Amino acid sequence: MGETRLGEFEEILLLLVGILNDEAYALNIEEEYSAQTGKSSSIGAVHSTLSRLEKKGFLTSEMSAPTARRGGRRKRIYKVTALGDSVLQQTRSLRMTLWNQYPGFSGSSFTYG
Amino acid sequence: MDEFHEGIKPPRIARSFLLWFIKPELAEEVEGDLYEKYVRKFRSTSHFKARVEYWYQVFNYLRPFAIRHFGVIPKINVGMLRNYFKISFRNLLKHKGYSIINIFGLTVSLTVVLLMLLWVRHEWSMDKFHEEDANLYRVKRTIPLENNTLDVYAGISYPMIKAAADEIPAVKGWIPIGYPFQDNLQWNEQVIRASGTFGNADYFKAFSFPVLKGDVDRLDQSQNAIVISRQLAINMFGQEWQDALGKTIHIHDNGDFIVEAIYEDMPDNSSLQSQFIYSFGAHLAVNDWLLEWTNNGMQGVIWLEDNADPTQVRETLEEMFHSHQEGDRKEGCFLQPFSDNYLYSNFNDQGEVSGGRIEYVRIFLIAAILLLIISCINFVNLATARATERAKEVGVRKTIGAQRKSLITQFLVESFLVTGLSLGLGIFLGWLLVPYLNILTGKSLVIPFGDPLFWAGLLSILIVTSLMAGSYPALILSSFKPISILKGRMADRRGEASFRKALVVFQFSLALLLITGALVIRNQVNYIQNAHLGIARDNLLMIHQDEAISQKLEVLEDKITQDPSILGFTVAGPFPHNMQASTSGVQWPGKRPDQENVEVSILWTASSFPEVFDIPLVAGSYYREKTGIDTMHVVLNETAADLMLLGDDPVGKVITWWGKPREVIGVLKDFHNRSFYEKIEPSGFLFEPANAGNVFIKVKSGEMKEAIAAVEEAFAEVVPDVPLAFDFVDEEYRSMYTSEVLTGKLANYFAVISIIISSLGLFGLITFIAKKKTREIGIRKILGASVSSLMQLMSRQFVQLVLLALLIAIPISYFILQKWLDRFAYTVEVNWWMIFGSTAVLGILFTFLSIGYQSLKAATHSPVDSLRSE
Repeated sequence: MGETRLGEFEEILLLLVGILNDEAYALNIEEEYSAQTGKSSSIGAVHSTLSRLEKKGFLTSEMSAPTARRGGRRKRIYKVTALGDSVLQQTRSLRMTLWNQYPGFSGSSFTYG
Repeated sequence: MDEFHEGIKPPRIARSFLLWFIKPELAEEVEGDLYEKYVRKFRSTSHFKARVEYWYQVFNYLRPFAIRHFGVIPKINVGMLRNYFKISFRNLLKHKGYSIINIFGLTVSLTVVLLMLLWVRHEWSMDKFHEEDANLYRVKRTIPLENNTLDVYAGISYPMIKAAADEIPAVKGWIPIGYPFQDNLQWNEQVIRASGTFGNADYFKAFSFPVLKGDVDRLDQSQNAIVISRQLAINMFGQEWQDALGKTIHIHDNGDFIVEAIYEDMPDNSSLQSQFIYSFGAHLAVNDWLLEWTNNGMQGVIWLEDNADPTQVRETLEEMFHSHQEGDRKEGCFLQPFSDNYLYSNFNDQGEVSGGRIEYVRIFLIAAILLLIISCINFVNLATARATERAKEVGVRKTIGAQRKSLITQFLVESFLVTGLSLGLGIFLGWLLVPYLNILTGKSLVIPFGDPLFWAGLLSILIVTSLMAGSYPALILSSFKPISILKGRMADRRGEASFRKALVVFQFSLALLLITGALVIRNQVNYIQNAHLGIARDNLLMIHQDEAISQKLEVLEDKITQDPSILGFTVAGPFPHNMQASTSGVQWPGKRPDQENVEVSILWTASSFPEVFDIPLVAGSYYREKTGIDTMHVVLNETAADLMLLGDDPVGKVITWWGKPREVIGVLKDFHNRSFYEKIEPSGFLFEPANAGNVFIKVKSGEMKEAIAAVEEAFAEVVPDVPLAFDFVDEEYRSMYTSEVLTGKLANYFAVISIIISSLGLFGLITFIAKKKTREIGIRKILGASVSSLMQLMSRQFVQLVLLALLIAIPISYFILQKWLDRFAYTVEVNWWMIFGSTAVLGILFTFLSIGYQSLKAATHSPVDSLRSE
């Protein structure tokens, strides 16, 4: 499954889309990213990665109903697809396997995520 | 909180730019996201930060996935693009002369643009870094004068601002603002001179000056509290500066203070600069006159709650202010956003903002852009004039099947290349020159290489300049018809030649405008600096007069005046050349009701004042006593005597000063007691040597060194505890006009650069024409034409163009400069004929310099050489 590898940024964004659920649109994801990681990004950078993930089939998206607070403009809400979900699971289990072999952590009750 | 807000609009240019490049199918969601982000940022920080953020986000959408497909771009394949670059490079190398003219001109003007933008950015960012900026307002005072006009003052009274904070719920806090003064701070044996002022805890809560250590609340709790900047702490306590808290500092004039906090040094883009802030309570304790509503002895800022309405606060405050005044013509007040104060500090006679430093910012931004236009014109002119040389290439390309679009792209690539090279050189040059700009402007600017906005800005400059320089030539060059080109019928079309001429005229008009501007500004600046003020300013030393000096004043005077290098000794205050202290508490018989608020300037002096400052008496005499206080008499200046209708014989008449009668004993001749922007103010000179403010020592011309030694010796003997620090009166005077001096210097640079770049353009054009006319000149020579008639033939049209430019530039510059001069109450007698004469001479001189050599070379060329090839 060589094509299904995720970069770190991609992985975090996928997770955030899942976490934010119905509120997962580019601006929110970007702000959540900065809040959770403490690193700053830009909406453009997030948006570009989201659309790449969508092209790979990890995400789907649809436009929401227009709201007044955006001056009547709609927003694009992203959802994790089944494929995206399984890629996340794969990444997680790979890491878990590695962590369990890591000297300081093996055997301890470590939860990843 | 999250509701859509009608009034909040993102920057229009950024939005249009976004909509221009973004894929249409993405436009809605992206615009919505950015708008929402903007609103959030706007509400949580400041307007300015929100705008910056918006721009940042827009530029971050410049990514391949989001950029729409533009008509031209997809048709270029990389191979073609490489070919365009190759051809462009070969062309640049082949015509080195033209390339150098173009690149040199663009480099110089891009460097100037870059440096100016750096400076402008800094000016714009002044005071905007405070997180609470949107809630901070300066309280200013309006005074109704004659004829329904208003005067605006920054000085307000302590009770007013205190009442605002105590009684208006929307006001969260208040900050006293004082003039920073220089003083000696002592800790153990260590004495350090630093500048600072008073303040309170809100000073550090409302403003974003980070506190590193300690508790600034102590400023409100203790009259002995002082907080110091990191730099001062390091200077004072060295390695152990972190342990400074709790230590006692002695301020020379103000007593002992305990260090309660250390704050980060105030940044360069803050208009407030203090190395120490001591308790405002301490200041109030020794200046109880501040407690009166009528005494406007400080400036102040109020800090509003997040959702407060400043208009309402102003109205409430003004009502309170009115209730503490008597009379019909009450003073009012208004609120100015704190960060506006730096750039917009001038008001017209209706109390509306009329300008300030912003005018200089605009002038130089416009001048830099004009310079860029001048060098773009060179590019356009040279490219179109040489179009025939490129015609064959265009013909061949078209025959092979090149479309017009791709030819336009090719020529744009060429201008892009030239501009890009110039910009690269410009950044390098700018980087080299920043230190000089800092010397000139007194700032510490750095090129922000790490700032993505800076690179985005450069990219926009690159694109705009390339298009400005390249689009017209691209249109012309790509429009050639291959059949006529390849048949060899190629003539410069009429329209293009006149367009070129129009551009030359435009270019020279701009250059000449800048020259006249530089000449007039220089005249006025020289006038200010050398004008006979009616009061001496050279060879005068100024020393701050403190209590110890006042007590030993006579002894000190005797001792110092014994030295042969010293001509006189007096005290006066605050500063005779800019008398800022004034009062409206003067009454005289016949004072009209609308003169109720007329301010009379005050100077506290000693009897030797007129003698030391060379001010003649026009009537009566000056004070005779050596020491003491005289509350029975007053000396006026001529303007005051006229105002008070004292007639031909003012001596002996009685006026009421601060509620008590005073007899006028003398009238001093008028001297300039304000800046040249203001008329000479009516003034009263009071006698109170012990409390005047400054010691002035007049020195024999050329013996400053000996004088300083003598003064030092006298001080060491008479008042050994007083640390001696001089100022020179002429320097103090000059520092009143730093903006004007800077404008003068920059105007010179702009004028020189613009005329050089314009001349280079002419040089390029004449070189080209000379080459084209080689054969014509050869034939004319054979038929007997003289060298001078040939030179005339060559240069006539250029001289005509420059003369036309003169005709255009003169009235425009007259109009603009007259407006600039009108802002001064006193201006140099501008000899416009001289100014325009020298501009004309300079313009024509440069024209001949640039065309003379080439036309002479062409005219003296042997016809054998030029015709041999036929």
